[in-house]
Amino acid sequence: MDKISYVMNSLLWGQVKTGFAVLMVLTAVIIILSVIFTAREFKKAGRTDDAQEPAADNGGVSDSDNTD
Amino acid sequence: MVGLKKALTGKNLASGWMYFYIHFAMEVLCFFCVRKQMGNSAFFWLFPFAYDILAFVPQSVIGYLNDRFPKFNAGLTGTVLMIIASVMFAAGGFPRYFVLVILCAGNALTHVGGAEVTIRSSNGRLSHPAVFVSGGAFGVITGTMLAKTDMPYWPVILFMISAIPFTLIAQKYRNAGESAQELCKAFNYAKKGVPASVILLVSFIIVALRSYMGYCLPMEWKTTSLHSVLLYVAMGTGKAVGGILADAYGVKRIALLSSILSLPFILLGNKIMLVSLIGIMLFSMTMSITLALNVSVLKSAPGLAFGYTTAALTFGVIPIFFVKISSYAINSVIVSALTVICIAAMLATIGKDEKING
Repeated sequence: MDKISYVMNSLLWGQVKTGFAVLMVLTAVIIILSVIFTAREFKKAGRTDDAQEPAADNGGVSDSDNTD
Repeated sequence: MVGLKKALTGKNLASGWMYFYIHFAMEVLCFFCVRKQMGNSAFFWLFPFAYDILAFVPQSVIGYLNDRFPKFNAGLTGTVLMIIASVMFAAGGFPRYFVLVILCAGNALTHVGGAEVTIRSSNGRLSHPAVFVSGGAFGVITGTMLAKTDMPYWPVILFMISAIPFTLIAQKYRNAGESAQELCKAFNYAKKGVPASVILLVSFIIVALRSYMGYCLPMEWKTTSLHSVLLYVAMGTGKAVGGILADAYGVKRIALLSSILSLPFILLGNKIMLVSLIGIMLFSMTMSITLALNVSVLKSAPGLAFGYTTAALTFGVIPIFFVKISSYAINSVIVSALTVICIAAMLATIGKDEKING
């Protein structure tokens, strides 16, 4: 039996499940916050969900314009 | 596309190399601490799981905050926090999950610092963040190997301290006085007409799937520590080379070619190390490409864009803590199917290759 199976099938699982639950709640909160911040950024950029801003005009820059 | 020579000698590429070193030192320290603390106790399951969640998921929120306060040196703050945490581990007597939170906060801040500096200084190129990201693979295996020895904490802590000057110098490349929107305006890799939220979601799925696939790759040849070292070297090299080649020959071309070519090498290399390593190198090349996709639709918040990729990496790893498949046949089917899905997703979201301003 490998280590993972050992933990899953033993009483040790009881010791870690609270920690697991806390981490999952934390993850959910962070993802929700990220989505809120992203929506705010989209709004700020004047970008709606279905109207991505057109690409910036850099396509015509030639290699000779490079400064490096 | 800027050509290979210009991709290798890009302006401000020094920022990528400085954060390569910082990232390397950081992962050496973190993996040394985590592996040492895991030992053979009952903590071995929860401890690395907690590390993954606490270090990688919050980077989106930390990144967003750092986007709002660009003069804050996240790299330096994170480095100092990691040093404090490792000293606490070395001293002993502190609650180990409390110290782990400090270590992970430091890790997350330093990652965000690296992303902000390299993205904001790259002028739309991928090689800068790719070189930064690649340092982590070398650090993970070095820290893991060192933890298996009787080495005390202090040499590793000293090594991390040596990264502090680089966090200060690299901050100069961040151009904190300029707006991210302006600095990232050359990131235009997303397909026109595709909603920004769809780009972010699909990119998240690609990263998560590829993160999961990383644990399904059939590698019967990997039986010794040297093999593990070679595996991580191939991964790290692939991440850096992927960004450089994407700058030189086009993001879409490299994303698709590396994904398609990696599959036969990975499947046929189950027992042949060299073939497998080539496959893994190719497999790792898309790392910076998904980041560039995110930045393309979140130009005003590169830290937040980066955080989505690290959160996705963690989501891909979570199933591995519960189920590990060891059958070659099943893993081959999973890797093949997920590769096809990722290629379709990339085709749907990556725009046509164009020249970028070097």
